[in-house]
Amino acid sequence: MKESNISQEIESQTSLKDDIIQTLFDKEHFLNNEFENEKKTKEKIAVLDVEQIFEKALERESPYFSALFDYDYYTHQSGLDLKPYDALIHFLTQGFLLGYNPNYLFSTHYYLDQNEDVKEAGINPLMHFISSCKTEYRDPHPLYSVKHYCTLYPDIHKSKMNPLGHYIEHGYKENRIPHPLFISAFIRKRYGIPFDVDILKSYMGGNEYNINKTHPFFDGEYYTKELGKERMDVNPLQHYLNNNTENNISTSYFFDSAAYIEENELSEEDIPLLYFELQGKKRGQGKLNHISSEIQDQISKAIKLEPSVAKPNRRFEYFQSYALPPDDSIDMLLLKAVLKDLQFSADIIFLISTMRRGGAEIFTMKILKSILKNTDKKVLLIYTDATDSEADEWLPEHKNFAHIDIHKLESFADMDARHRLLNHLISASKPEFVLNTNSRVGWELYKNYGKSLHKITKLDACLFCYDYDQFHNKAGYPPEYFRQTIGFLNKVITDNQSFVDELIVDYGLSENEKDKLVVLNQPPDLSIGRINRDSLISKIRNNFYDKKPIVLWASRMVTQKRPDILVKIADQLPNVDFHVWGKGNIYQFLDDDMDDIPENIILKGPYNNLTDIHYQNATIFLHTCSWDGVPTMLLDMINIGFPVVAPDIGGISNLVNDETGWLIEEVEDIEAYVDSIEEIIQNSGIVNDKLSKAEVNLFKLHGQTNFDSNLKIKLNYLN
Amino acid sequence: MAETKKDVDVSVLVNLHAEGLIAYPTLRSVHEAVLKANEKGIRTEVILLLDNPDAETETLVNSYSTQFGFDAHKISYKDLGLSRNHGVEIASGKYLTFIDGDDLWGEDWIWRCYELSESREDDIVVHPEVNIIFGKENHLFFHTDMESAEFDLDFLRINNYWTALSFSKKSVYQSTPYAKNKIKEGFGFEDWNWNCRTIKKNIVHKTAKHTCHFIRKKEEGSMLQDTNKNYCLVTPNDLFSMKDN
Repeated sequence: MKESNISQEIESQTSLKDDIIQTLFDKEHFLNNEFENEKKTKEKIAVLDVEQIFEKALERESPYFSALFDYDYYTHQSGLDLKPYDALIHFLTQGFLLGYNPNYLFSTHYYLDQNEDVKEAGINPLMHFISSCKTEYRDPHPLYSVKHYCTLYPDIHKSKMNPLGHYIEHGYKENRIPHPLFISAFIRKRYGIPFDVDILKSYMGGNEYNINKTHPFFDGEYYTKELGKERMDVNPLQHYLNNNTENNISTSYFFDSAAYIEENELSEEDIPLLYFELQGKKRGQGKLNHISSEIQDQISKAIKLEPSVAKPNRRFEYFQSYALPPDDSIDMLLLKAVLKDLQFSADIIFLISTMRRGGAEIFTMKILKSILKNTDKKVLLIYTDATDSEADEWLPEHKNFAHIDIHKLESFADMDARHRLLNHLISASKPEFVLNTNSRVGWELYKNYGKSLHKITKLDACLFCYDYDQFHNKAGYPPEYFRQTIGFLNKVITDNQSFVDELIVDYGLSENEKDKLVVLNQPPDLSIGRINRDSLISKIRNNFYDKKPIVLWASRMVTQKRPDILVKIADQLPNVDFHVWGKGNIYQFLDDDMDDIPENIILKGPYNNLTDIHYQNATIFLHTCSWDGVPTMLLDMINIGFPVVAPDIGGISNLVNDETGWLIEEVEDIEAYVDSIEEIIQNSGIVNDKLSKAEVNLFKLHGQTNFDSNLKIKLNYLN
Repeated sequence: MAETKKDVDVSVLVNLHAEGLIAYPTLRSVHEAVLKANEKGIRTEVILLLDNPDAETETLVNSYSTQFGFDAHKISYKDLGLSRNHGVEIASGKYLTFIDGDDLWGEDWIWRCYELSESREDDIVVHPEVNIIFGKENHLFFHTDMESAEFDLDFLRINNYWTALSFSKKSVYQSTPYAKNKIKEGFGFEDWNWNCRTIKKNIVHKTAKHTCHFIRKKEEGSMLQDTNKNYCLVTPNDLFSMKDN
């Protein structure tokens, strides 16, 4: 090589490197990925200029090019065994001349064929595209429209990102539309394709999801058949867009290309469906329909008999049209997903909002599990509402149990779609009972369709208490639905008599309606280990061995559970520690004159299950709340063996009363809580006496046998 | 010699109730379709079923039934399904077809359905290829043929595929009579129910190429509106019964 050529080569390579650094080197990606676990090194390198950082990248052989150069794709396509940087240099200097593509959505051939000026100038097409795409909108591939992408997504257009690079790296996951005739959300829904799959890449490659319709009016199979072909070398959409056949071939039964060309006076160059999508809709045209000449004749004659058949100045071809099932039917997607998984016809269907870690769900699961344990009935549990589940581990594994999570299967399903599914499942399986616990969809179903459904099955519901709004007015499901549904309901199950009494007064129930209300006392969780009462008593007698006594509080930190009362109690008992468990922010419940929570409140963090709570060293369980039924936590704490202090609301007095514990008459009577706690830590005799009675009372009312017996006799669930 | 009832190929059953003057274009469209069928050698009879009619409708029918050569029958079921069942019993054609008193047929309806049905060895139910909805709304509803690739039986679990204006053998309507709607009790959609029950008997629902119906969408007071307003379910049937599985 002559000397001058060598210097030219060096200069050319240097200029190329500069270009790469400026356009294709992804500095942030390199720093974030390469130094994920080397924070200090990353900080040191991040302050260097971009050329120096690129040198570091080359040293590590990890240049992190933008998505526009896909190293794996390039080496696979070219069959070359090159390192990343060398592969990129190869493409920029030689590869494009050999027709290699830098990624699956940039066609070197297409770009050069479409752009003679680039071809003649001998410029690398990718570099030309990068420098000009946002101003000149030249497309890199028939299935990617730069202008459409930039128009639809001004955020991308305004950003520093390359639009094509954005689609390849992020856009497909966000259902962004790469081309007017490739409607990502429509395709993803229709073919049930997960969000992490690049559907365009899949369509252009092996088409493993058998994508046929890429647009409501582009039916690949129909188009191929109209062409008289069995198969084609490229995918049908690309074939259509390449315009390498006459443009009057229809793309769907509902899109007659020839008629559309005539109506809109399109030229041979125009692609009718593309024209419709980009221009026709803006002109207010509806969908174009396939109406045969035979039908058109009959329409003309009918209009003569009844002029109102026609709409003035509107042609029938432009009326909105549809066939069933519609292409984007969420109902069908949901139905198909359910039918795929559902193996049996249910004898009992449970509807719950979702599996929250709440008392209502625990209560419901106790009923469900008892049915599975004591009968051969097939049980279907449906999460109906648009919420994520928190506790799927509570679901039993049993041959007679099935579970459907509508939100997981089809989160886009609206209330009507969910109702159509539930109506079908109930009509088709005719279960003996449907039991709704806190499902909004279920209550709406009962309200709207209860009149019909209660003739097919028995509609039951669980209600535990009222909620209260910020003005202390009664709120929640009872005022919203009880009056409207009681006529269709078979049984209303609750866990406490107080609430039954309240409903009777509030709604003036007849004898027949009163008979529908069933109090079902649930058993505690018997798998939880009990504390040793002798040790507890001895601890009290020995003044806690000079340690601070521990009061346990465990609940969600929400207004209903009154963490504010807890704080005030703790503030008055500095010699007692309060171990506080639960999700939420206790600081939002502080009074204005308090800067911080008292030092004796020790926040223990959230818990998922009772077993997560370290209760062994505690002495007392404190419950605070404004409204409730019979909290499962109280049942469990009494079962474990703690003296319990709790307010007299809902059904609590059935469990905690002056004989069995420390019942606080007024929810906000701080002194009464404080006095009760002080009595417990000072008087072991009273504690011992009340614990004995509490245990007897608990199993008398809340034993498993009693529970099963009520399910059988009062509710017929075990028959 | 006058034709006897035994010679009828197709009986046309027109359901009338309180349509008043808008029944006139219906009767004319039926007349046109009958004439076209007769041209093709198909023998027809037209039975007007006046179920508890109002005075205006009755007057209109009295004025035109003789002119068109239609038989009018006054009945009192106050139910569309039961009224149709009555028509089935008194019709003498090998085939029957229904039209509601405010809708219209394309004139090819009868002969194209007849030819399609005669070409098949099995019993089928024929629906129009396209429904042209007019009046309060304007749109086109294309029916799906059970033998087309687009047909998905599961859709019938949650929605109806076809309108009630069908064409089939009298024996099909006899063996599967329409169910009474109980809209106030929450059960309706007699057409959806009937479609499911016939499919349960392995009867294929077809569309006849190049046929159309014109369905009038009323401002208010249609049975469909009542059905939706009452949150009705389709009257239970066994097509999708899971208990059989």
